[in-house]
Amino acid sequence: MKARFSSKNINAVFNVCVALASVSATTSYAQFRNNREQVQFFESKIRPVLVSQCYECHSTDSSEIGGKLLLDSPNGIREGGESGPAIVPGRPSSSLLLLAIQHSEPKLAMPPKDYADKLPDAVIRDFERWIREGAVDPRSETQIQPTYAADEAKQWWAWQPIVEAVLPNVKNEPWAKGDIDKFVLAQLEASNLTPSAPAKREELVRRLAFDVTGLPPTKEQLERFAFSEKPLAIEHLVDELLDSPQYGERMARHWLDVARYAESSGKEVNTLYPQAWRYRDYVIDSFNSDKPFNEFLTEQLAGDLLKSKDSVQQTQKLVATGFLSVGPKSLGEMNPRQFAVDLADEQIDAVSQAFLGVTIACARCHDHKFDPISQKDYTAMAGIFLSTQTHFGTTGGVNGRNKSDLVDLPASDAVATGRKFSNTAFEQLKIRSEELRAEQRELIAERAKNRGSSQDTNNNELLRVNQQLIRLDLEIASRDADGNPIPQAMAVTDKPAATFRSNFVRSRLNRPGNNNTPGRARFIDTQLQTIVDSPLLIRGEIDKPADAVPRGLPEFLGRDYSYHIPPASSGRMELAEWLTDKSNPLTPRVISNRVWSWLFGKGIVSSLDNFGTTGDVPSHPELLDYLASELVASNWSIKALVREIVLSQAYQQTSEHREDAFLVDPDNRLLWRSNRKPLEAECLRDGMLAVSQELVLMRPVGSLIAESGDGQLGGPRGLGVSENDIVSAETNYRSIYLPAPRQVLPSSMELFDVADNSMVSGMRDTTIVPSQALYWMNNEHVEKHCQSIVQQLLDAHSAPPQSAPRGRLREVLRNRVLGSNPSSESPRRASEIAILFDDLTLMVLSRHALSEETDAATAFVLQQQKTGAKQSKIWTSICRSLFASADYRFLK
Amino acid sequence: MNLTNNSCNSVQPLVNRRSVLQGMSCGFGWLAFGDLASRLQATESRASHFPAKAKHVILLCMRGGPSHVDTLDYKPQLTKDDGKPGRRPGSQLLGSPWKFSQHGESGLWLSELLPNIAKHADRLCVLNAMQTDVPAHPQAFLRLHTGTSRFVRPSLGAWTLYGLGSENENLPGFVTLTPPSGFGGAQNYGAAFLPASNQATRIGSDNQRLSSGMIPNLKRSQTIDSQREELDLLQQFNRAQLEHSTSSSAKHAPEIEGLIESFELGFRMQAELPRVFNLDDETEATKSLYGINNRATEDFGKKCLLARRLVEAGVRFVEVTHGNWDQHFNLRTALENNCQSVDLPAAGLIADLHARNLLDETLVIWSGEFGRTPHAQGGNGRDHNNSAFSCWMAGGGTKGGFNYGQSDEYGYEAIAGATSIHDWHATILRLLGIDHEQLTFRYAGRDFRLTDVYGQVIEDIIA
Repeated sequence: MKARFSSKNINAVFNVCVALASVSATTSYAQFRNNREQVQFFESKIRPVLVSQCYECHSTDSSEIGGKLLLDSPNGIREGGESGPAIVPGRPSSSLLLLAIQHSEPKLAMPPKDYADKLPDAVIRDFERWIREGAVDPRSETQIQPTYAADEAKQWWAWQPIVEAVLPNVKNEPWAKGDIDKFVLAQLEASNLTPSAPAKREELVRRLAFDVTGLPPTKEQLERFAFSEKPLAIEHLVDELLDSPQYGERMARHWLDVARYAESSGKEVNTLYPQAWRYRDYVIDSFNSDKPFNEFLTEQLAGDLLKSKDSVQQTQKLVATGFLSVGPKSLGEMNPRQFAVDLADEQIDAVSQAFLGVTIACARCHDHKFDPISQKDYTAMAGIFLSTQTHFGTTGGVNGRNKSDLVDLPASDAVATGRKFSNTAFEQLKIRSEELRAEQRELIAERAKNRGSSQDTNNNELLRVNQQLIRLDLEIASRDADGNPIPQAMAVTDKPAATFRSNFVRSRLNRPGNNNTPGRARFIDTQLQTIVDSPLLIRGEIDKPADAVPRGLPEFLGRDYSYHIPPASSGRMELAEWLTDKSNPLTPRVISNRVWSWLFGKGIVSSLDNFGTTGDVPSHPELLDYLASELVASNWSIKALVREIVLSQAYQQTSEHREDAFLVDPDNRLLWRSNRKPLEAECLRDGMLAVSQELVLMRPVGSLIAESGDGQLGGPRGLGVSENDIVSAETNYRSIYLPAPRQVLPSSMELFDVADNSMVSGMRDTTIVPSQALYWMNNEHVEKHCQSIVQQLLDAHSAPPQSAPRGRLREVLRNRVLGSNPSSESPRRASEIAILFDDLTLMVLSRHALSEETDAATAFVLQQQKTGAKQSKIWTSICRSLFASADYRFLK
Repeated sequence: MNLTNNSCNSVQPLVNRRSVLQGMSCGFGWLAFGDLASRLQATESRASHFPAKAKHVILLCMRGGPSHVDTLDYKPQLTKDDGKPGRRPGSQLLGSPWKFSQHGESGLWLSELLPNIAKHADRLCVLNAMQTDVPAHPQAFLRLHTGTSRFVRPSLGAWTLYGLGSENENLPGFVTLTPPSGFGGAQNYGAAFLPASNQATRIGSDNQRLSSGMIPNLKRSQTIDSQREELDLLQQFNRAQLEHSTSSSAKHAPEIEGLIESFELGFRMQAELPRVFNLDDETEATKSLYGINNRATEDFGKKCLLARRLVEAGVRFVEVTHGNWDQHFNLRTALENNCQSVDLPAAGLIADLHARNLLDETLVIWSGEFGRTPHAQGGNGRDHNNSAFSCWMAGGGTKGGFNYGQSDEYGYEAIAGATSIHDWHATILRLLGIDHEQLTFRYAGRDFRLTDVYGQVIEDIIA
């Protein structure tokens, strides 16, 4: 048994059981099981009654403690109050508590008769049994008992204030161009290491182009900044790239990974989010306009609560809250309350990991095992999100379960997507909906009549009608009176404030033993519809509520911050204010570290989403604090941060391997060179499109999923969109605009490690697997793009000058001069092959060909020509090989 | 690694390629380079926690929830009380329309719906007290595969592959045939936070009939010779780039080495996967063993045969999804049809594995996500039942001719040997030699395992 419970992941119940079972060293397994059952009995039958019926007057939190009796701890209940012990374990007849709830002594009757009804008999029997069997009471054991060394955890670097940077002294001062370099160099020198030489100009140009815009440099950029005799200063290139709209698309792709952006719900009923794209575009626009990061954060958490100067701005801010709305959801969940707490949990998880780098959601069922975050902290945040209405659209699960609406956008210039109906078609739609409603009424009446008989029920029929009606209603609700789609967005809003009445109904109806009565259902509705504090849920289970925790911020993390959440507000605004307050060291550190990792391929803290005690420590703590405070000082400008980083010597080093440094620091934590970074799926594809000149840089309106409208992925009867539509989706737009549902992705994305869009993902995996090789070898799109590139290449090399006179003599002359034949399909000579190959290499890899590559390519062409292969085929093979090669896949 | 300058002369591609591979410092680059060391473990067979017979798993997944009281759980009292009130108000008990009888020396009770599987009664280990938490398809299907429907977690197959590694680096270690795109979709065979290479290679979806062309980009875009020539050119580029990745004499570019190897493996996979896929080289006797010559059993038979071929080729975990077993109505016809289409192929799989001495090391499992109610729904159907259902296992070190667990007299609820999905997972891992409490992965600061904080190995069913 010892081994069985030695795992550190054992949950609270098991801990309790171990504690109970280990009273005697010889405790048998049978006894253990027995105890476990009793604990479960207490948790399911006894505690909820005590919490809901007794704690109001008999707990340490009560304003006035009735009869000096405390029922919220094992000691309190055993010692009792003014009248003596409330229970005597094993002896129900001597237990005052039982006598009180039985109403056998009018004086003692509890709950008080004028206050509430007598408890149901079943509940009284449960108490009788519980006392008779020894009144096992694990409550003290489930109290907050940090399993980490609390004081140590509180000393963790990440929670400490940002330290104003003092620039270190370095020996090799000329190398250190900027402040970043001083920090990097100081640590290299401390390890007796030297930095690497600067990267070759063309390598740097390519690195900058991909890192800042996600696209390869243009031929003209290479010319101006690398290959001309007097290349322009690299600052100009950086500014040019930062000013291009492709910068926003590149940064947005990084952020969308963090924001677990996707266009469907995922989980078991994978339902499309046809309006999710608006959030995507909002993120792109925000990076392009260099929106201060604190504003960007605030808009995403509380944009709906911000003041706007006009409807355009208001629209933008509403769309921003899509961050909270686009997460994965279990639309099939049968219990609406479970759905609500899961939704809040997902939002807590996304917010805390994305902005704070802390896994607060770990404290859902128990205090955080490693970080100073209590279940109470979690519950305080849960209240904020349970008080928030999340509008995510969709027809929901079966029978419209968990369906939701969207928010109408106020801006007159907001674009609407979806089908437009003609007037007559729209009228018919409305008529059809009325017909269905009538049919629905009939079926319900019929079902009521047949209830109890063994006749076939018409449930399936009713289900069908309901489904159609839900869909029709959604279609009608998303269109104006003329049948034109109206612009709507996924967003969040505050729920209305609780009224006296709703509170009253809640307290009356939240009664044990009422589990499946309509009263309980109404209680649930009430709780879901208003601003409310969340009860602490024992072990995170919705049927085990304990006391409510006021909406608020994590106690320890927010220790230097005072705030007030008004009763009629969810608290999202206060949360955003705290996250961006200067007393909060985590937010600027976390985002600076992310930006650093987007450019260096690795964070200063390698665990980008986890700054807690189980995460990494920074390789350069002073540098991280320097970046964080610079960010705040520059009015949270991400562009300024990117600019400073890419202009550092540290960033501009070569990525070449150096054995001496490698032996000291194999992981390159100290940055003795630049990292060789794998190009992401989007860059691989966009780069190929760019080289083939087929890339359309314009932003499309919406997405494939916006066009297809509501429905399930691979749903019935051709609604929504099919799995195959997604897998084979191909356009000439940038990859960020490809459809992005959960679970199924375009194959060019899926094969190359895109982030799992169901979780916050700061860092992508890198795999090198044969299925990727198969993509390069056999994919038809790869072949098509390569053919198009080769066609351009061969045409350019064989096209006669436009005014060139035609005629045999001229051709012969031209051949003699240029050594080339003006047909793109004619055989080539070695010297000409080398020129062609070098041009092609420049296009694909932004550099001149290596001599070994040229030799290999030349030999290949000559060999293939002998077999009679066509030039276009030969060069397509060469082009494909360049794309498949290491220097395309990995950015130097 | 000297590079011979062969400017215009003919190259010797194969020799060049070999010398490249021989020159590799670690050579094997099937996986990532980021944390190569940890990921490499996934392709090396790891030391097991226990001695075990099972090395492979074939999970025959009957999506929709097969009726246990009509197949594997004999309920004479239900037959006797046919028509009496069931537990749901207004419902009537429905005795199984099919007869049960005892089979083999062990005398296992099995329904006449499974006549061929019944012939292997003494090799079957039937679990009659399976339970899952929610009687809804998506949640139960995800729970069956990942242990939870609430969070995105690695699947049973991914954990298995992560724990044991692959035996054949020319093939994926986890293959799933025609899984549903709904009911949790890719989560059911995903790797979640485990290294991505532990995710299943999906072949087809939604119970599609088996056909060629189900793996993307597997079809050669050119002849094998010209592809080889092109690949040799590519590898020369890679080699040159590796050479130029540093001016220092010591080379360290595991990512380039990995890339080179992945292309070689991809190239070989093009040959190997279609070969495994090609059922034509099986004898007629084998084909008829799986029912491939019969329309009703042909498709599932082919899938079972493919599963055997994959396992034989070293694939660690193969899942074959069948069905819709969701018989709310039309029980008599639909359940009979379903049983007919899987009975002979599944029996053939057991027989064939046994004949090839593979049954001992291959755990075959037949299960749905839950069972069905003993009472009728609309006279000729049954509703979902999560409190008791049945599955069978064969081979892989399980006891043959063995019954474990018991449901009540009608089959509503488990009354002895209740087996949760966590217990079931723990037991499957145990049969593979893995301690489910030790097989953990650190993610977001916590050690995760397939069975969360639950799961008890059912020692009784281990031979």
